Amino acid sequence: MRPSTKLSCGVFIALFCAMMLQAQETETTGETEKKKNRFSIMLGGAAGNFANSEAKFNTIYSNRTISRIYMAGIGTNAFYFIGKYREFSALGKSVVANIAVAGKADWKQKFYSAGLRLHADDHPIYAEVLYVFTRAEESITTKDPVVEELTAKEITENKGIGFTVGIALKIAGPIGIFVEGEYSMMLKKGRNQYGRANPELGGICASAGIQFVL
Amino acid sequence: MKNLFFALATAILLSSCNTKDEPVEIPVAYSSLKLQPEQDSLFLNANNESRQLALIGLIVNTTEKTITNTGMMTDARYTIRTSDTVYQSVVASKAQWISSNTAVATVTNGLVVGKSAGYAQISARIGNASTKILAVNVRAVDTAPGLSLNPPAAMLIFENSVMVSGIVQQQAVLSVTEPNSGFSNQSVVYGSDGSFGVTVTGLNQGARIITARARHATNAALYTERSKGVIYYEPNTPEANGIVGNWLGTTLGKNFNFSISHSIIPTRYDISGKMDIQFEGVGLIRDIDLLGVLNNNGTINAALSKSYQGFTVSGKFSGYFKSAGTGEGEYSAQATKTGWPKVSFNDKWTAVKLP
Repeated sequence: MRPSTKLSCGVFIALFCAMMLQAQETETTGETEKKKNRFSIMLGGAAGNFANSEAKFNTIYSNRTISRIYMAGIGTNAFYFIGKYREFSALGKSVVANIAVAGKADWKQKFYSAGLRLHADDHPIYAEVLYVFTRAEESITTKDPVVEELTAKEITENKGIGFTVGIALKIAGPIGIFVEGEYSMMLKKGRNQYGRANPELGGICASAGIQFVL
Repeated sequence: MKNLFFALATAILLSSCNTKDEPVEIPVAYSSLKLQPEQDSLFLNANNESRQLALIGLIVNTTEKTITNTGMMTDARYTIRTSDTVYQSVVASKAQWISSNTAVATVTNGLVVGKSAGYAQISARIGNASTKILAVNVRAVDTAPGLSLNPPAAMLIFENSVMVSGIVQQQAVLSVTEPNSGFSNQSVVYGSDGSFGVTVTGLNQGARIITARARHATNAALYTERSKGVIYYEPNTPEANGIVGNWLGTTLGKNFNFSISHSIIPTRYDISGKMDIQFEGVGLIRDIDLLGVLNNNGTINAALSKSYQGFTVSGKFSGYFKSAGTGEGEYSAQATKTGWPKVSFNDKWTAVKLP
């Protein structure tokens, strides 16, 4: 783990702990007594921009699509168990050597996350700690100069952890909007069939969406 | 004892000097061989008349190139194999020369010598590559001289003259005759290798037979005759226009279509069509344009061309028509692209006119 990543994790955990303490204090005040032990269901959807951690990713995949994010949670006014699903795809040009043709690259990735959200009911800021499972599929195509296209495909699965910080604002009744940033990193990369280390599948995803808290 | 030791040491030193590696000649792999001059038959007298043959070999240069395609986590590697062919001269002594009948003709390093009257087949071989058979006809000194005419044995033409060529035995007296044209018993000069070519003019329309006669130099009663058939029609006559229409061609495993039509020049015919060619290492290139003209001497002069995916295909399509309903010939084409080795292909074709 890189020093900057360690520092980011440390800062996030400290922030998360502080918010937990703040939430506990809020729960013990008489003003919020009525909200105590109230269970809520949260549903939401968002659109975001995912950036892979590795700079090489952006040199190959110049045409990234907007990620679609779906989430659902259940919990009290302070803690939620939350699950998220995110799709990400990108198109680009693979690097072809020894022939004067351009390669095509197609990337599809899915993130499945589950974890804990800490969000005091009267506080706009929330934080999440997530277990992240991701599945990435890459197809690269070499266009034969005459008659055919040669396509190779690689599928990799990996798991890791993710941290989210966001701001949620109520608009009317159960409807709210939110903006959040999630940083995810994988625990182990693995290697492809030619022995090349797989890329880091995690990265930063900035997103904005709408949620319903029932 | 000291002398013995000295002698032994000297011997060891000398023997070590002799272990120096001799240069190793890397054998060239020829895929086929050709005799030069390239002819099917050879006439020799039995009085040790000789002819020196040369040899050229076809070398196939095959190159392989590995293409890599690298993505974020995917690697793909492909090998492209391309071949090019080139003829180069071969030192005659490198080949194994074979005579099927050494009593009739011997061959040593390409030198063919007539020994006695008869027939022998001469060929050369290096490894798995060999030449076509050269038919050697050795004749007794006082027999009719040898004579052969080059193909085609019959063809359709659109002008009143035709070239007749072939090989004749040295010292023969050669003449050509076409009885209806006034081209009667015309004397023909031939080269030192016996090859000749003569244009017979003044033909009348219709089917004609041209006869070449090789007469013994001193005994006129000894002669050999060979004939060539021509069908001559003026362009745009109903008979000549029988060639106009759609044709089905056949090559090695693949059919193709072409048509013959009237040219904007009233005395000419155009040929146009499409054909597919399978280039090794490149793949099948479809619908290569075939475009050209039918010369009045009956030969086809057409080009093959296509641009596709960066490749330029070019080639030559030639042949003749034996009648208004059948034709044959050969074609050769090459596919080139910057950064790629040139790939060539050649084959023969036959064709029939569709109803």
